[in-house]
Amino acid sequence: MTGEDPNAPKWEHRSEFKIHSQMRSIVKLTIEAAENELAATRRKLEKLTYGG
Amino acid sequence: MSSKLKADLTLLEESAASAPLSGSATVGATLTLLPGTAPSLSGTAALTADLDVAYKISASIPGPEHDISCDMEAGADLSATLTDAAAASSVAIISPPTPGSPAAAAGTGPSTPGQWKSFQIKIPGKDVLSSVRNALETLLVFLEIVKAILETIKVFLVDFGNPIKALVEAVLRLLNQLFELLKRTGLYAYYDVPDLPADPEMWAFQGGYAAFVNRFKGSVLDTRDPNRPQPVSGATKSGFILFVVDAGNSVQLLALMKQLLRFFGKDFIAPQYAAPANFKVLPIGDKQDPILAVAKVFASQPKAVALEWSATTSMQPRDPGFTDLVTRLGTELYPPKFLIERSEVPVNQELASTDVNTLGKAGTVFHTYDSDFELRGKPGRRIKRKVKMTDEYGDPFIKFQTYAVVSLTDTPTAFFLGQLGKFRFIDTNVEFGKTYFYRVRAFSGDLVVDTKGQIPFVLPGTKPSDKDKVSNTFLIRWPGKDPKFPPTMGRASQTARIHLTKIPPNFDVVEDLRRLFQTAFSLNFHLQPGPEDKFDADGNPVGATLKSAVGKGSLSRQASQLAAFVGVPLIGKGVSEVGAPGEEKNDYAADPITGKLPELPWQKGRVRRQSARLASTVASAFLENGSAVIEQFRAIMQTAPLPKGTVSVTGLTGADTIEKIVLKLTEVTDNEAVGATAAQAAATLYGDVYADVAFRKNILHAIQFVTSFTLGGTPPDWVKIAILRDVIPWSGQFLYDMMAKIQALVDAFKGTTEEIKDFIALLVRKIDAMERFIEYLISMLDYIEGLAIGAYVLAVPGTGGGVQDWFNLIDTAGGTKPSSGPNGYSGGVALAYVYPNVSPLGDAIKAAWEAIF
Repeated sequence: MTGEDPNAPKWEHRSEFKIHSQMRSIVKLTIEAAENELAATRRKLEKLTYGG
Repeated sequence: MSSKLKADLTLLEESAASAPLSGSATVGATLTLLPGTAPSLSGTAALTADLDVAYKISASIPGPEHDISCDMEAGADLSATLTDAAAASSVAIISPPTPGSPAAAAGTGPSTPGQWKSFQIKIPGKDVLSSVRNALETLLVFLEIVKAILETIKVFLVDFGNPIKALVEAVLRLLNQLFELLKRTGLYAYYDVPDLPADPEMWAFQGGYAAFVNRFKGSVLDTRDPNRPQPVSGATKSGFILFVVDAGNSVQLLALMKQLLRFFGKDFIAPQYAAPANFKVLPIGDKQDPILAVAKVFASQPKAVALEWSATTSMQPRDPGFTDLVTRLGTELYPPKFLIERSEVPVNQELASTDVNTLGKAGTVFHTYDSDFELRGKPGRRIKRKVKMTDEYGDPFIKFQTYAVVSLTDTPTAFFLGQLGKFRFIDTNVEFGKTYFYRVRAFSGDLVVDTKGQIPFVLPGTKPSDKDKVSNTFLIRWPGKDPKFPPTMGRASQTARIHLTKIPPNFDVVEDLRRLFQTAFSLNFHLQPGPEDKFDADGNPVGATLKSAVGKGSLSRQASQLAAFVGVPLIGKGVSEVGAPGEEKNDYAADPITGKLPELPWQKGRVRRQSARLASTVASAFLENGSAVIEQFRAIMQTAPLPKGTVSVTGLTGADTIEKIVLKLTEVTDNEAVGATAAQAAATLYGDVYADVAFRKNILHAIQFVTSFTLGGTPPDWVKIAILRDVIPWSGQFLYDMMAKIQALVDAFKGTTEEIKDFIALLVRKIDAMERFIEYLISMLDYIEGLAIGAYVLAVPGTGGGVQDWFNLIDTAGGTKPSSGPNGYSGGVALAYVYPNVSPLGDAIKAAWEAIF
């Protein structure tokens, strides 16, 4: 809209980079998987300790 | 180029009534639907492939020229549709416009070239490195695949063993391969950061953005720098990316630089101000000189205390690759102020963090927070954990009751700089009978301290996510006047303690003690009593016990070098107590050879020295324990009549207090000076009191108070005994037998239960390990969050041009430029790569660039 070449380099004010969000999503997914595994192990432990 | 869309979308019409919308999130798109026509979605949402209706969408972005509208077919992907629409209308929507400022005038100030060097991108957390596997170009695609697989896996309960581990390792291997490649090949880094030893005023960084550009250009053209990138038009492929931080003043610049540099793994973790050394608190007298001798304290009543300390110089070694800015700034550029911390209550007690801002409270601060883990068997209820709070250096945070700021400019009268770097602060706001605790630390910046001497500390919340991102602990923050620029606090000195004792007037404690001890030694209180000596209930000797036995033994532990000393009366009534009957000397005459009169016991050097030593020890103990004890001693010494009976001895008539009789006895210190008559009178007095029971009992009374208070004159110690074993021996045997039988029983069962217990223990260990792992992952997340930066970025992913083309690209780049003018400060980081035209690595790096940044 300003008449410039849209592919020309432009200044941007950024607060994070793509690598941030990539790493973040990987870590979050790993956390979820680990938490599920943790819940399963806890259930096993309860069964052994208290029976039933 | 890719665009991040940020738009309010308005639903104009829909072709089917009340069709539900569903889908997943697209970064940056916000949907608002007209009320009444369809359910409204909040937060970020987009429409995906499971639509069964078509919509007409209008995108309205701030700025009238940025309206786009489009039709969306059923089943279309909204984000793709909008992207196409945006591209078609050439809308570049990146961030909200910032207030522009006219471009700064071309360069002012010297352009000091920065330094080009190779660099490493730090992966948060530990390195899980192994060999390289995949090509760079598939990195992004692979990441998407990994994410999809992980999403599926999380739905199923699988053993934590292989699948996830292999996937995560694969991803990390890829990332590592990328970074290793970048490390080894034509990648350049340029750090345009202040070099304070050379340029303490940071002149080179003034002139704002224009000056930064000048410096950057200068660095690329600087033929002395062999590390600089050298793109050649038509022969190389190159690209660069500039990260610029922009500030209105130098302190702000440093704060923003710190943020940016943290992303590149350059963190400032060293303390900026070391703890002040040699911190002392002393009472001071009228002349404001510290009173260091006990005797002087009793002579003149101290009314104030002086705090003294030395500043330490910065001992930071020069980092070989990088200058540690903030340390040097702190000690060389801005002179520190000092914060005095004061409390009237002991500070080693616990203080809950909720009480930190309560007036009058002090102590070591503990924070109770909700951990991530729930109570077993009670879902929803979190385990509360209590943890010591720390400051930015990791030292336990101790809150004091009041704070005072001292600086050269603010309080010149109370604060003067010693010539050798010694600082002093005088606190006149002290009262007698109180104990004060002090601590001091250096700081710079605007710390908020109110008129009551309180600091409104900034406390973290109680969730684990409220932990500080970098240190992963709960931090208390020191408040600055501008929250964006907190003060730089140094390490605290040791805590010093002082107690101000009120000295009773007209009572010279040290002198009385000295004379009392001289009297007691003269009366042989340090010698042991005879084995046959007996006394009645009042302490009077009975039977054959000599009068001069009264008091013996009361100072035997304090005799030291006087152990062999014996005071012997030469004339007076005491003569009958010494020597065999019939052999009384009763004669006080000058020595025929030396012509000198015999020295009386308290005149002897050994006796005087030991008395003075003991007097100093006891007086110090009095000071420590406060005026109540001194008052008791004064009462004993100065109360008439004498507590243990009147002394009827010629020469002591009218002396009705212990103080008076003691002073009178030891009055003559130099026989030659007073003359033979007076000396003889003194010797006679000594001889008379030697055998006077009342005199001895009074002295003993005072000595017993002093020794019981400080010098360990207590009755025999209780000795610990083990009742069962030592007093009733056979019970011990029974117990041992029983324990042996129980142990045998336990051993019998051990076999079977052991296995079950072991397995349970294994599960517990597994759970613990996993809990720790999850904690670690969460800390990684926090670390990523903490890497947020506030910088201006100019990305030039690829060009075939040379140096001039680079400069042209910078000069003509639009967008939101750094806005600092000639009075602003700019600094930053640049990354660049240069490759021969034909190398595919150039394209690979470009792709990697775009993936990372």
